Amino acid sequence: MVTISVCVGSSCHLKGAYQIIQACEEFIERLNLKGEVELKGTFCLGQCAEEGVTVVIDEEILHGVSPENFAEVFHTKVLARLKEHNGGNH
Amino acid sequence: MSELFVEFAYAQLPKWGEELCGDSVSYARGKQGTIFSWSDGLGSGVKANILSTLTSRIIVSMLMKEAPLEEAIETIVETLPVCKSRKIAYSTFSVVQVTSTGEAYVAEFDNPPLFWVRNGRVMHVERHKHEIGKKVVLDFQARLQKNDWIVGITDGVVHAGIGGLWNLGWRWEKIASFLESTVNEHMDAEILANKIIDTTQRLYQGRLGDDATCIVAKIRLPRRLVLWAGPPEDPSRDEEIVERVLQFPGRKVVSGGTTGNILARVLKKDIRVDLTSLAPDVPPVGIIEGVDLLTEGILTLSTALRKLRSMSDGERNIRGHDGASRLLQFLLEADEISILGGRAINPAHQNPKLSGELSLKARILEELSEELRRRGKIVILEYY
Repeated sequence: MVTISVCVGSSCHLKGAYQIIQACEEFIERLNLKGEVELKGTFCLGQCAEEGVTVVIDEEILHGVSPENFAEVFHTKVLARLKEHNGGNH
Repeated sequence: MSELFVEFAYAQLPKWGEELCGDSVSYARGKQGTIFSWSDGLGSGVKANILSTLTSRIIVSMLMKEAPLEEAIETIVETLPVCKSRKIAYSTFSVVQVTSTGEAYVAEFDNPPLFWVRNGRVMHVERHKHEIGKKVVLDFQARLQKNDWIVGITDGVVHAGIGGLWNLGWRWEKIASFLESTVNEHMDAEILANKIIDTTQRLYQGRLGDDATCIVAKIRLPRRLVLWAGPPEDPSRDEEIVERVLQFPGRKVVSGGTTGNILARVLKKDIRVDLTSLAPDVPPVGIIEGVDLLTEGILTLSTALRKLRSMSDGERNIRGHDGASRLLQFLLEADEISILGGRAINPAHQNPKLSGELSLKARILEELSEELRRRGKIVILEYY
């Protein structure tokens, strides 16, 4: 199980948190990852001065996430982690 | 803040064929309490409307300025234009003043006696006669309590259906029984006023023989709401303000990400984000024990303000499940709103790349307060 928390504070909202959450829901749906990836929102993480939207994947804080680069983030961070969890056989 | 609240509403219809109602209603709230007056001008149409508007407005504004009733009546007599065909200046009136503790003063001149309803019964009241400037005014004092109702009507209601459905019209006594069987604690003042005017219209079979007005004042506890928006300038006051919000006797709303996080820290509880409230223009709401609503700050507040401005005055039902709609629904359901604005500067809002909206929080709170006041809410805005 991988948990992805998207900051939904004012600043992140303006930088595309809404679109990221929608894209993430779509990926989970399309790749049939319900039960393996948990999508959550989180209140302001206090990282507002950083670039882009702040996303936390498990414990790792990522800055600079945008609707444009989210697909890549999802692949390199979320899917990669899932593979690790599943012993690389997934 | 006040102990009792007067929920006031009225409904009216003009005489059939007239565009203007000759009855007028005035209402004001201030440190003297709540004052309302209704008046039935001589004749119908424009002329009657002018007479009754002047009468009800003069009474309410003079009593608000603590002038004695005698003086208000003298002013009316001197001010009302004299009708050319009838050579008199005439308009009935009733006026009610209710203090925040429920002390009521009622004066009536030539209107049907108002109804005072308590526990499903129309109360019998002794009225005293006063001669003021050749006019016989009836008055009484009463101590109103929670769930009391004051219902006032003009004679167009009393006579509803006269010579048609009912030989003698609806009649005062029958209206009293109607009230006794209709009024209940869960009813809004506005609904009762509309019921009476709808019934009046039916009794006249749609063609009103006279202007008809019904005013309703429901006495109840005020619905209070606190809106905490923004962290205090001095972080050492965080706990004090959280305590104030939690102790508030009414609904509690917290608006702002950092503000919500302060609440969570002090309460040692987690915030869950309710993703079902996701909307493109407003971030989703949070859920935390201890408060009724937790929203994001500036975008939610500015959207709520924009929505409120686009609504007509009487409109009260909001569609939408997003944070701004929910916040607005809560605000519109409240009578007394206490806004605690935080003066802390959010470093994120200094980022020039962000929309200009982010630097406007204080102004949005001011404008929101003003807009809510315009709709009859008592709003106290203070900063920390």
